[in-house]
Amino acid sequence: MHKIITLFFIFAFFSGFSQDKIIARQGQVSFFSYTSVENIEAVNNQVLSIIDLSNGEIAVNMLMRAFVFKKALMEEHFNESYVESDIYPKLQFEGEIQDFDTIGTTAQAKIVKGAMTLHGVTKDIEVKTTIERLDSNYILSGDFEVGVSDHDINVPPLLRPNIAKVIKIMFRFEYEPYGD
Amino acid sequence: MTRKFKIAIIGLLPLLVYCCFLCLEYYNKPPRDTATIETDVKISSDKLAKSFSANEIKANTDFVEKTIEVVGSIKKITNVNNRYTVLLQGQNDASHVICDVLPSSMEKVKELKRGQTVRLKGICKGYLLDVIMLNCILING
Repeated sequence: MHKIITLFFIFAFFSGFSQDKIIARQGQVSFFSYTSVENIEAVNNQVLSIIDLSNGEIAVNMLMRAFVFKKALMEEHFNESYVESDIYPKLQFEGEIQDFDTIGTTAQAKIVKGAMTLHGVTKDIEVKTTIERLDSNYILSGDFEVGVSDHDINVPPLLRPNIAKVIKIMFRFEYEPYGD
Repeated sequence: MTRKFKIAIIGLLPLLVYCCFLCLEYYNKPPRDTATIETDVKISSDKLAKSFSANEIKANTDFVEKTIEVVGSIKKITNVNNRYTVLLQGQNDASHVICDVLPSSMEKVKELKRGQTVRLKGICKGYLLDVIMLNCILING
């Protein structure tokens, strides 16, 4: 799976049909865990994504270590105990925007179907997204939920009350033609 | 409750409060300030990007979570999602060093120009198509 995604990015950059590709080097992905004990949130402002406008294929790649927390200890626990960033440094998603209208200028609500690899576990997901077009630039935004146990993320029994079983993920990507 | 036990409790109470205070302070500790952290590596942006594209596994060991001073030519300055980011030229036009700037350096970064050579200090987080550095501050520009 990792090789396929890497090849997608390489293809996107060195393909002769580069005018069909749009890129967001600084996409934003944030997550929120709500429990009665404490709320945990973090944001990653350096998420990479490429869309092939000719077929609606989309790839997202991000570094787990690039999530920023308000408290240093939360960041330490997140990277060392939960997502194990040394072993699984990246989250990767590869999918397709269903019925993507690349010409329309009004905001579109679309479904993105694909496979997300987190903590070494790949799961098929469907995400509802809003797509806006501003000239040659596109903005994709939306949110979805991820079950902690779906990706074999182990939370120590003592800390279970502090971590929600389902984490809300929010995203926003601003794409531009990749040659710019 | 014996008198000795009461004295012991009263004696230990300040220690217990102090321990709670230390734990709370440790728990709420904010992320480290880049300006006060000692630099681990000084390198040019093209060499840094080249190190990752040549051998990402080795570069992860050499650079990830290290405090790096990187010098390079500004390819672009962006303001996305209320974050100022300086893209330094990598070894080619497809790969850069992305420096996510701390609010303390934002005003100085706004005055920088494309093509200018600058030195930034930050924490290296890894490599996607570009090398990602967070908590960056401007050393000179």
